Amino acid sequence: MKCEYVNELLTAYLDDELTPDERDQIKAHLSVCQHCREELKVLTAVRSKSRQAVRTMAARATAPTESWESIKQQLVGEQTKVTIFSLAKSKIKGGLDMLRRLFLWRPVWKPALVSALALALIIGFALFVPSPFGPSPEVLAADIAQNSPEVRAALGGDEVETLKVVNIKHDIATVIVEGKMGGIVTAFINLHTKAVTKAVGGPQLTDEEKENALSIVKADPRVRELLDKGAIIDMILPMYVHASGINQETGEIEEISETWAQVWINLGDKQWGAQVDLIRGKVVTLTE
Amino acid sequence: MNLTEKWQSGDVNAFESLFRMYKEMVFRIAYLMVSNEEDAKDVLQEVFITVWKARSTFDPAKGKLTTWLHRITVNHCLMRHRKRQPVTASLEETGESVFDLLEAGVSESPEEIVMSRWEYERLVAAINSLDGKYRPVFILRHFDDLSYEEIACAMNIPLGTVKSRLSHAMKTLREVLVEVENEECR
Repeated sequence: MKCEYVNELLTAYLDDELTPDERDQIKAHLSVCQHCREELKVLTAVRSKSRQAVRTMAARATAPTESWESIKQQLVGEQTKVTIFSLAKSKIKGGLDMLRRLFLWRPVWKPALVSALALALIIGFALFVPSPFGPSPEVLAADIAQNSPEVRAALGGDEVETLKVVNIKHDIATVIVEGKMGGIVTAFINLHTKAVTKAVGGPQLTDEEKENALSIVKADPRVRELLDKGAIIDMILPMYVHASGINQETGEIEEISETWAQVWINLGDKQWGAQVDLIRGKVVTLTE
Repeated sequence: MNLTEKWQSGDVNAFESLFRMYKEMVFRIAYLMVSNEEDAKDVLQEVFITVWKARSTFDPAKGKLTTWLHRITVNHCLMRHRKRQPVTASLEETGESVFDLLEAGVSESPEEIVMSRWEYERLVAAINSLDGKYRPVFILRHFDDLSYEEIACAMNIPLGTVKSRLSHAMKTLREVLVEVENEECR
């Protein structure tokens, strides 16, 4: 047995992490090799001193007592934001046109979403600047929704946290409203009469839908590859999909309004978002 | 319902118990990895927020909770490490002599280890300068006493890689100590 090979295994030998065969081979070599015995002696001292140094360094550090309070506050924050939703690009051609009318009132997006929505934010900001001809339809819709008793009732009496105007058609604005406690309501507003015509709860994911989303992402080969590398599934959020476009088979204009799931996957400092179509059982997009 | 089932189902009080059980372990690993208390404090919070958010994905049948915590802690530390230049721990950061701790008997068996202050300081600097590949395996092994298999599992790397990385780390530290010894002999 060569000394070079033995040297490679001496650390594991000291840590008692060799197989019985390897251990016997090393022992046999050490009994006849003075050089490797010396090396073992040196490494034994290095190991002891290193362990001592690491433990001494660690003994200096004590977890701050106030940490829990700070974590708890963030947990509460997470709980109230558990139903944050996002708008997905529909598979239907032309679906994005409608989403370009996005307006964000008080953004609470996860950081990873911010870049994806940068354009929408810019548009939203431009719309927010008061116009000399009165508020834009988006600002008007958001204002009506925010002050609507119907919306507040649909939120279970909760206050409005976020509003997003997702569609305006024939003077009817569709606004998605998120409450401070995480509830979500879709409000339809007649811009002509300045009244809320309907306020319905959603989107929400049931435990069964969350399980379904988890099974779908885990079955996706791209996600499986990430999970095999040690990625963890960070969170599952409902996602409201509302889009219109031309059905390429029938040539007819179609609208879809569905609840999908958005699954966030973390690996190291990277994060992926999988948009999961719960109805058709597939991961539509997986983006880093 | 046991403690794990409770915090996994969203019980914040059970999660607080979990935090209190493991905060020192997480904080100390973080401190050893990132080399300063402020960053270690941030990592501690990030780790437990991640654990909370990912609680439904932890499966006790597939592995130990501590292995999962180690993995999350190491990942968060490496994220910081990638974002920043490596920081070398200041031994006099708190104005307290680290060597006092050595003398105060923090060691498990202080009588067996004779180490000069200079030797200790050089060793600490060398451990802090081990790069992101070697430092976590070294810390998990020598601070937490994890077996090679547990390290492989926590870091999601093959067992052979753990073995070679630890061997490399030991050789690096060996060079430092030999150098110190030579300097002291001069």
